[in-house]
Amino acid sequence: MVKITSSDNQEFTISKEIANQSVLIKNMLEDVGESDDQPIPLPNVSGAILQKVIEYATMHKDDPPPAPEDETKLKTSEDIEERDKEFMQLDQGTMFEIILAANYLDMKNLLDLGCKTVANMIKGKSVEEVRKLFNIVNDFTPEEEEQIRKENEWCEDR
Amino acid sequence: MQSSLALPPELLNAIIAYLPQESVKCLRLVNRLWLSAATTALFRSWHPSTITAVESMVEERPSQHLPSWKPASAAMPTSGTTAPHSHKLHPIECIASMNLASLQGFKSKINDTFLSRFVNQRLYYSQQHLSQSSHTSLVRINLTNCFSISDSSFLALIDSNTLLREIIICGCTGLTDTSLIRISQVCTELVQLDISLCRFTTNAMNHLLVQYSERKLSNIVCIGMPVV
Repeated sequence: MVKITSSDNQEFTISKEIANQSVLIKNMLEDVGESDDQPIPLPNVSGAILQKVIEYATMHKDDPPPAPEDETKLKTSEDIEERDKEFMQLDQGTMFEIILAANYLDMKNLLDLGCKTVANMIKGKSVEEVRKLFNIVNDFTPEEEEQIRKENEWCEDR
Repeated sequence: MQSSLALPPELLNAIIAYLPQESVKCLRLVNRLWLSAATTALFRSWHPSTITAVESMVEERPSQHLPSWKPASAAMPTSGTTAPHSHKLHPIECIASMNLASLQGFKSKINDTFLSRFVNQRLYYSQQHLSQSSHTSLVRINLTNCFSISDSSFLALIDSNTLLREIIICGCTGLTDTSLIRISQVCTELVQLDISLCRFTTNAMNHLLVQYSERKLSNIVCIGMPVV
């Protein structure tokens, strides 16, 4: 078993196979060796988020190792598993924190899931809808906006 | 309420990578943060191939080596208002080397439309920055087997990148003597030229050799060309 502690000093005990889903923790374990039972500090992740991350890792502990990325294949966000969709039914703040945690912990599958979920939220929305969705304030002047629209035209699809 | 501002640029990029071009364009208009992330992605996806393939196509030039360059007077797109971030070079301007050789399977899509758009984009941005900074010419192009390219777009490319040092147009069978002659007229810095399997005539080759007799051109590869 592996002990980890969150930024707010919550301690979690997880199995090694779950811990190894995080490349960060895996590397740390390799560095400190088997014998050390000191908890691994994760100062970038809060307890609440770590709880969710562990939930995800537990759900996926029996997954086959990820296939090497096919660089010629176009990325799609349409291939999210049903259980993952349910897992990502979260408020935006939590979702972004999970993405940040996945990035920090180096958990590719969870990071991909987070990014795909956000991408799906954006897809098909107008500029105004995206701003509203993420609570973003428009910081362009009308002239700048006009300029960007013009640039967009230069990049028309063939 | 927390907003996406909490995400660092590399994560915005990771999200944008899943989006179709229409959404990427839309994101450019959301705010400044998204503009910068989406612009990079848009330029990458703007290529007919995948995003990762384009990574290999562009090599960014270290800024201290930027030679000064004035765009050719011909074919300048009409200018709009001044750019909002004119102090910053657009990613498309920073490309020193265009390598399309490795994009197997996409060669038919690299056509005049593609090349013209590339040239126009660079001219458009460089014109906006004319008073702010020095300008860049490509130094290397590799269009191996881009058989769909014809003289019209290639001439525009050459005219706007006169500091080219290396031109590889091996197998560009759509090009005629006009292109070869134009190279010899405007590319004064040329060091290496590969015109293997091209359909240039002996006359044009002679012209080229005469033009470059006093210049730096040290290496011409012309396998499968008429003997001169």
